[in-house]
Amino acid sequence: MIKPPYRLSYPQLGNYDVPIRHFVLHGLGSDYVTPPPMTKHTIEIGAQNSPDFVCAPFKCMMGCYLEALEKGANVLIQTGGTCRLGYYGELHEQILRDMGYDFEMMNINLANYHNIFGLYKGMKKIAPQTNLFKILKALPSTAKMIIQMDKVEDYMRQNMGFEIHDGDFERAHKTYLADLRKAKGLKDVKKAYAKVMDTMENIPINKPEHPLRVGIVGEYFTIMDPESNHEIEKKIAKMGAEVHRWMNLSNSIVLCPDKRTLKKLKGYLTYDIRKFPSSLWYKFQLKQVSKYAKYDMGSSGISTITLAEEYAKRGYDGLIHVKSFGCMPEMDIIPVLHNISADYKIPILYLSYDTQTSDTGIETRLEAFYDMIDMRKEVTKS
Amino acid sequence: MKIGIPRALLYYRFDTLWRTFFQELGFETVLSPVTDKTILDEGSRYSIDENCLSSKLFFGHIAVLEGKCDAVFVPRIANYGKEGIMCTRFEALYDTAVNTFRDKDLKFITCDVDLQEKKTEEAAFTSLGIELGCSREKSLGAYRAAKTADRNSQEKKIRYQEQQLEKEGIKILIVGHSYNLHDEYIGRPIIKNLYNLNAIPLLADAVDLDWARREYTAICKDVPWMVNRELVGAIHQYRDKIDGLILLTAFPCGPDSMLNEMIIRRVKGLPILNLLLDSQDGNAGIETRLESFVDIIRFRKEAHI
Repeated sequence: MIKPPYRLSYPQLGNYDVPIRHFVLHGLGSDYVTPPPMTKHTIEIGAQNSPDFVCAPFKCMMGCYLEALEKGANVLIQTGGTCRLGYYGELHEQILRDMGYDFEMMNINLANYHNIFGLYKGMKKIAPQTNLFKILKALPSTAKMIIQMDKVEDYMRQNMGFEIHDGDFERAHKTYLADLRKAKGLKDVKKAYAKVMDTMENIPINKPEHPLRVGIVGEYFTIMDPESNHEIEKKIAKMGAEVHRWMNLSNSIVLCPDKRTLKKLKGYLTYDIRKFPSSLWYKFQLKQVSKYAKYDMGSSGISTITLAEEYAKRGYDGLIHVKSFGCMPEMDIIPVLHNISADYKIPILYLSYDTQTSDTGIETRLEAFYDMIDMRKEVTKS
Repeated sequence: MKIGIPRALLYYRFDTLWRTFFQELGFETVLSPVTDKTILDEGSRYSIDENCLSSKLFFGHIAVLEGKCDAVFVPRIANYGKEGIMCTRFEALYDTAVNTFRDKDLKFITCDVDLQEKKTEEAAFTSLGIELGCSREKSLGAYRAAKTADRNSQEKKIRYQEQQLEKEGIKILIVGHSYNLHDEYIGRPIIKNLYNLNAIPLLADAVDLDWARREYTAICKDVPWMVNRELVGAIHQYRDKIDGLILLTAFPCGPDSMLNEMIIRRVKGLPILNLLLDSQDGNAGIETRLESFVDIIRFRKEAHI
């Protein structure tokens, strides 16, 4: 049994360790152990200790947990969700215990956490010194942080391919993250955002009037974690393209798609962890794609279709669909993507990730895809 | 109106329910033939290469129904509320099928079971009956009759299994989804093989399912999938009466990829064979592994005596 002080940890997911750490420090009043940045080594040790053909996010998270435990974490957080994600918690716990680690698992998926009130009770257990007031006070700054981080990254994705001095955007982004790590409240978060946007808007870029536009859609974890998807966003942007991606934490779990205040409130209060991550928006998006889907197709499937169709309607030059190998919901929507591709005449590159450690295969395919959509644009222009 | 039913996936669990329901309403049902190489090839053609073997077969079965019926029945079954969820495949099955066969001469009918959204099986089948032009009373009656028939057929399966259990010999529990156990291409050859090796195969789907869903927590506590709860429950029920366990999985089954690992880690003291099936031809590899597995159990038993 673990005794306080509790040192919480959640696997790396993009740069979201910053807001999660912020919430744990200021909202829960516990210590947070940021797992080391995910590397090839992380994925390797994760894969070594996981079942063979479980999806790649499981293996990545496994690696992160191992590294976090080595760094001194003693409470691990796992979210759960509609697909295999719903069973991650118990199996992670079992494997880590068999390896001899001593820790507490906060498995949000367990029965009594099914709504927000249950979740609060669960939090009290691992963070006894917190109270509702503290949590409510930390929520706005955490939410703001997530939303603004995503906005900054959106801006970066759309412009970094056209920067004149190589690396300007990444440098600005790094400073921004460092500022956020030091932020104590809402004021600091807003200040950091204003600063980074000012810097980024003044970075000299050379953007053509009609740049190539590429949309990225796909599975929740792989799409948001650059180490898992071999940084395809950066790679394709650097070739000279505007990259768009809707799927991020702010769009998926922070912002309710419904604009009406009452409906919004209802959406948050009835948030169903079992439907994670699509609880807030699947009904909303399902209406938009009724042509292709009658029912919710599980996990992030519906948003993948919705966004693919939206990008196609906007006349993007190509789509990239990323998912981990064997991801059930994303596999089921591939026939729909085939149809969207045929209906709107838009090329789609399908990438399926496992825990391979070489970039070369991905790079070659990205290059070929980029050349193809580039030439296609030339041809259709004349 | 002729209603086509693909002989794959959930057909093997709900065969009596579905067929009795349509029969009671006065519709003719057409079953696709038992799985063979052509169906597998058709299925591989129509599905994504990463799909699990069982769902590849499912699409093959739909493909061969083209021109033989007026509509194909593909229900959407998302979850049974507290009893657990289904693999997301069954949640998406209807839309996937419609999109895959969009350019073919195939119509689909469906019903939506989603207890988290308060759509029960009864409501789903009643509205399906109404959609097909029958009255509410008739549809409801048909569903109830079908449910009774379904229960009876499950009891028959359980009774048969109990008889098997009383026999002398090496008993091996095959743990796998019904659609794998009973498929002519996946599970049947393994069952036959075990008989040839003088072992008695027991099937994990021939148990009291309600009991299994309640008691699976003796082995692991937080399984989200209903079918996997039943399978784990079946292991719990038989674990003292059997000599070995075969985990039969179609590559790359999502739920099984994790549950198998869990079972191997939690069920100690019982020989376990993890059989992973893909769409390979030829059974020699499987036969060798089964033979050595049965041999090990036999030696182990003799040593104990």
